[in-house]
Amino acid sequence: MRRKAGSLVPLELDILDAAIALARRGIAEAHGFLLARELRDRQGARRLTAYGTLYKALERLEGMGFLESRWEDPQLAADEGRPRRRFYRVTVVGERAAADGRAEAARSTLQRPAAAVRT
Amino acid sequence: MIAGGPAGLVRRWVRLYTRGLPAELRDGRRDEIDADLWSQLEEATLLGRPLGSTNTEIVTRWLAGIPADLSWRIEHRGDKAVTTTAPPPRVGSSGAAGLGLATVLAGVGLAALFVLFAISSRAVAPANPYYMSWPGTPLVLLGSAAELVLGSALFGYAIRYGDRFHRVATVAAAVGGLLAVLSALGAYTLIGALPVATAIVAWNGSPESNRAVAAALPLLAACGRVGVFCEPETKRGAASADELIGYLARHGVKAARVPAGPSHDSAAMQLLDAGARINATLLVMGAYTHGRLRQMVFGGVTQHVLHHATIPALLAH
Repeated sequence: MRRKAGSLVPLELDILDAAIALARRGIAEAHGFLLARELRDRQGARRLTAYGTLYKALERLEGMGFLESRWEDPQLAADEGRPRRRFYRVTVVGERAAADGRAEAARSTLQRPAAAVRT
Repeated sequence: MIAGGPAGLVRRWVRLYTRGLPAELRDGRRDEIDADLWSQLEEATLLGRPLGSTNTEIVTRWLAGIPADLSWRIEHRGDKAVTTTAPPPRVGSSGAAGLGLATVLAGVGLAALFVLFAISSRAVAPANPYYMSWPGTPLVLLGSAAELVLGSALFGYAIRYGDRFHRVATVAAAVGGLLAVLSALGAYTLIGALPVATAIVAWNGSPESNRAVAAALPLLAACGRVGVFCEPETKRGAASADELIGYLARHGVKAARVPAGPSHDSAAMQLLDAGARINATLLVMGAYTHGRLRQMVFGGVTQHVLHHATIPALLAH
């Protein structure tokens, strides 16, 4: 999908919304699987987002400054006998971008029926 | 440990398409997918989900993500600096090593220049992500913990990626910053003991101030009081100070806006004045948000703060 500079594709907007929703429930930082599960539950989807799609989108969002990430202490992961996790947190600019993205999506939804009537 | 089955297949695929990429990028992607697979299998076990449906979902996620994996690989192809089949070039061992040695020497030279620059002008080089200025010292730099602690590893990094000048410049600045930190820390042995009770955040909606806030969140959460000073030149369309306050509140930081002082003062003077009014013990701000040239011509908030602040400042570029 082609994108305008600085704009969000639907998956990126959904990820930001999922991370914001988790933060509002007290989970300020979320790892990839948690975000994938939240996305699935919010969308009522049957499947989790594909690995490659999810982590590429997370990298893009971090590059745009909408997410910040940190790796957890490897010792903590080793103590629990699992791989180390990378935690993502929405930045204030990310929250703003999500709000703008939602507003833009709402405008598009409103304009679409009008365009259909004209044609 | 994920050994076989569809999860093992996914792991092998990830190892295949990340092969030859820089270690940090490669290991990061591998660990991240490993952690995801582990969590997915763990959840399936806890919920008593049939292994067959979990395996089907893993395969589906894998197959659907292959195009993204390949395009990610292509995007990062230019980052390729070392292959898994050949060891990183060593100084003095081959023709490429000559380049490595020259790179190290150039890096050392740049680092020395940086240290001289930092000590003589009390300024910072913009290549590093975080800085902490300290009144009465040339400069304190906060890079990633690895940058600060593993100075020798940075030289190794310079050798491995020596064919890319911009990387070397970044590394040199980091090493120079490390040395500057060590010199500056002579009088201040422990940054972690900084008594931060009240902080002021300078906000103009720039990516730099966004990064500064993200970096300072743990510090801000420990503060009893946080003031937000909105610079007059907030970027159009950027998040407002009220949005920042809402964001901070959602992360457990109670913050309030601090009004600007006399309008004839510069933004930097207003900022320091606002900090003094709330007795701030820490200043958080983005650094060089307007570019070096403009700062040189018109004077800059960053330079003013570095020279006139009487409290520690956490700066992010």
